[in-house]
Amino acid sequence: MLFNSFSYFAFFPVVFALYWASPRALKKPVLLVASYVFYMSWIPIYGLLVAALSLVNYAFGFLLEKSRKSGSTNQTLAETAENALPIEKMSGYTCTILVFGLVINLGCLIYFKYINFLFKTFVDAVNLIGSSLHIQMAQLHATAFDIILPLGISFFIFEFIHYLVDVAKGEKAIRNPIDFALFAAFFPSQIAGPIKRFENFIEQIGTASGRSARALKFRSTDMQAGIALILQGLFKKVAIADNLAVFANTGFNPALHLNAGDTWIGVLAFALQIYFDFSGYTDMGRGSAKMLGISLPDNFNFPYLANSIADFWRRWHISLSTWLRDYLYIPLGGGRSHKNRNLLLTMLLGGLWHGAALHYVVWGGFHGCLLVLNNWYDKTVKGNAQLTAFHARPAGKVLSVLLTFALVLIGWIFFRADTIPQALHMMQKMFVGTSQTSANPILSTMLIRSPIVVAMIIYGCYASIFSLPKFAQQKQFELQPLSLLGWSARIPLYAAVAAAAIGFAPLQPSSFIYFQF
Amino acid sequence: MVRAATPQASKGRHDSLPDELRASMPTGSPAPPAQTKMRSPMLAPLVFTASVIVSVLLLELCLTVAGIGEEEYLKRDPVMGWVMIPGKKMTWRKEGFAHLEVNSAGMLDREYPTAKSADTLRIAVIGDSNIESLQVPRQLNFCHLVEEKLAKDFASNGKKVEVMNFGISAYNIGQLYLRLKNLATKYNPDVVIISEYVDSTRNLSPEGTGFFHARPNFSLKGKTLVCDYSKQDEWLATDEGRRMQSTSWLREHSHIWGVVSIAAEQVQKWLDGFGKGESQWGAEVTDKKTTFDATTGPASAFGVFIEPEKNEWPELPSVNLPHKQAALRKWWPVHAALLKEMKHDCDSINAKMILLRLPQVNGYNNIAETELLKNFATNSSVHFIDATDSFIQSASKHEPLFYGPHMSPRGHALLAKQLATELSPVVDAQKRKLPDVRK
Repeated sequence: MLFNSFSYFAFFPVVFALYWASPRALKKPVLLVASYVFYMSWIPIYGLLVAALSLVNYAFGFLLEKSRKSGSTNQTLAETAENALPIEKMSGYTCTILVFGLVINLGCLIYFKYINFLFKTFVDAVNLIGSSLHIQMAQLHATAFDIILPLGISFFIFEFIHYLVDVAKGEKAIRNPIDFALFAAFFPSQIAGPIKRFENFIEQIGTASGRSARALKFRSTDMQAGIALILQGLFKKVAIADNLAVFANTGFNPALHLNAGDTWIGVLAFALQIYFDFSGYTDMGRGSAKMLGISLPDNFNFPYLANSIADFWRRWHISLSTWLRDYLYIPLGGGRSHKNRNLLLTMLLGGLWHGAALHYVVWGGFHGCLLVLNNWYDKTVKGNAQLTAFHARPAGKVLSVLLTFALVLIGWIFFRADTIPQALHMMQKMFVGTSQTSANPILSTMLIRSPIVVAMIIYGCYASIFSLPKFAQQKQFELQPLSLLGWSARIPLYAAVAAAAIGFAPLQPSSFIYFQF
Repeated sequence: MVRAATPQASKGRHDSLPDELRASMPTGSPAPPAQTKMRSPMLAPLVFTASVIVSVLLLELCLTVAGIGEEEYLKRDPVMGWVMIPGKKMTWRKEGFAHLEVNSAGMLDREYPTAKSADTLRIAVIGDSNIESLQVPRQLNFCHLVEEKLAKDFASNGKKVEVMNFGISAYNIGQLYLRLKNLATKYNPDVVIISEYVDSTRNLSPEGTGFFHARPNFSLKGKTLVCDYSKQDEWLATDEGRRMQSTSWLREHSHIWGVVSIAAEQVQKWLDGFGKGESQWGAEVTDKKTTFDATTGPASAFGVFIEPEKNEWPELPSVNLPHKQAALRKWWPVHAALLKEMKHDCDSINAKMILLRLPQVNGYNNIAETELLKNFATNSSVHFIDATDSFIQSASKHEPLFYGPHMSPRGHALLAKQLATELSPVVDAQKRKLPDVRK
């Protein structure tokens, strides 16, 4: 069930009505059942996978907490994240349980997502060596594992890992199994994030004793923000991203010999498509959650206005980048030792998280290198008064944004291309040209046919108007959905946005890009 | 002086803001003053009305600029069933792409004076959506291409040629007859091309419901052709018919209405397919995008059923599908009678009639019907052109002749090439009848 499907627009109002009509004690079970219905509408058997992993991680949470109590008498359960126990100071018993829990989670991820990739890499390596086994291996490779990737596995496995690590470090384990199951399967964030933090989530849904004052209470402000987010997300996805998909798919089609201009259009289209697709999905998920009284973290903050690669990663897929920072980069040593190595390794694994293919690894490595360069450049700027002054000027800021966007754009080529040679060929077409390019422009002609330009202008106007208050106050770009207006003014505008989203939608919809991860 | 925020003072306008916005307010900033004036009870309805007007205008503007919601181009007509809305401008995206405009006579063509000038040879092409050609710009449809090709020949002796497009979606042969009689003959064409799509005989059956089945239906009483409007009247009395009538202004003028009707169509498709699969916003679930491709074509050998089953009509090739065979048997006499009437009308204005058999992309070629048409043409001195073979021979995987059920620019070019060649002798004969304006 996709957020932009008729099925979801039939499913969600039913869940919403049942949820708010239920007595407080039944609200969470209603959400839990709805979440499993949502997830199992695709491949029902995978509901069992989510349930089994939830059960295992729930048990591991208890084990970790218990091991902490027995292993460290000085540690109190009320410790906050700031003074939590670092991994190196954990008891051996806690560490063993944690490693065991991580192995189960990562094992699942590897089996479902990476087994074919690992197998193929192994076969290629064996074949390179020229072993006599290579023929048999090649035959085996031809019948690789026929595994369908469970939707959202990369996201919920990361949530489980975060849970286990935080509990091992001193956070309280979740007591109520329904709370934990809901954290693991909450449908607005189940398929493609945002990657939640359990402390924040559990606080919002309240504990079993119902101590939280804010928990699961109907608030009209949540309704307003939720509807606005859903509509904003719907427009981003169907009116903008799906129209851009036509250009991106054509631009990256290796069978077409596009000229340089067309190739640039295709790459630009993909850069915009992936942003509007993913942020549109996130908005719809956050909006749905908000209407159920739960706030999910935001994932994007105008990433293409970033003035450096480090700034880009503070604005792009925020829940993943903070996860990578907290559970990979910092445990590796962070900025304390071997910072560049840690950055590079974190981004390489971040790339691999996106997909089991070398071009994702190259994309991650590319960003890792850029972050290392960014690190070096920051130090250089700090020691150079002229450079500092240049970057403080408007021209310097604009140049930084443009340069950052150009580098991100190059990275997207590796991300979107099916193979590394295809990515390199795309870059050749963009910067050097090839002898096989078509004389007639294809994508620029398609632009005339597409309503994408108008859709982008509409979104640009909307984003400008509704990010102005924040910008005026704090010089930060952040969208405030239609909520600035009163209800009577907002209802017709909501209807207009919904009609525009439907009207601008192309006849051939595209799936959400991040579903494959 | 900054007034301390009291619980009462901090309530009010701030409470209507979402959490994010409240959180974004600088800490320590003074709370907004409490509202001291009572709001007028009329304010909310006024704001709502103003917002509706602004939203509608903004949305209409955006959709107009983007050319969205313009696919509502047909309106009811008491005689023809439906006709195009004269003067309607549209951007067609449902299949292919084109910016188009309906002329004042309700044709998807440029404007023509009713009176034909003496130095002009007029060719009227009458047919359904295959002739109408919504899917390609007018400059690329076969009518325009044939006109261009023939104009080159005519330029040498100072004569002009006009190829007029009388095509209109979903018309059956009965409606084509009315189109010829009521509209095309007024333009005094010298050549009339009647297009015959596959299964056009079966479509004379009045079975079915909805907009496209509410039309004049022809039948034979003895040897007399009878036109029956009861089906149309029945439909107009239904909820759907009344709704269609009452919203005719919106359908003609509003882009928003166009979007709403597309959305309604898709919701209906989703409801129809509920439980069978996922349907998304914007999904055109029935669009098969067949390519008329020789290697991976939609059916064996282009849908030409080679192995005949039990043939109940021995003198003709097998239709292969019993219900189609029965329909052909039942409705062919009406079809033939209508063609005779058309021949009679063409003769009355001294125009040459041509039957054009169009290829069918949907994997089914009704050879029996083609044979019947061929026989009719031979017996009635009507020129017969069959485009099926040339389409099969020119099928290409990479350059499709069809977008979906309708021709792509390549298909139009191919048809134009064949027509221009086959029309040459007919046109030459007609040309000789025209007065030499150079004298």
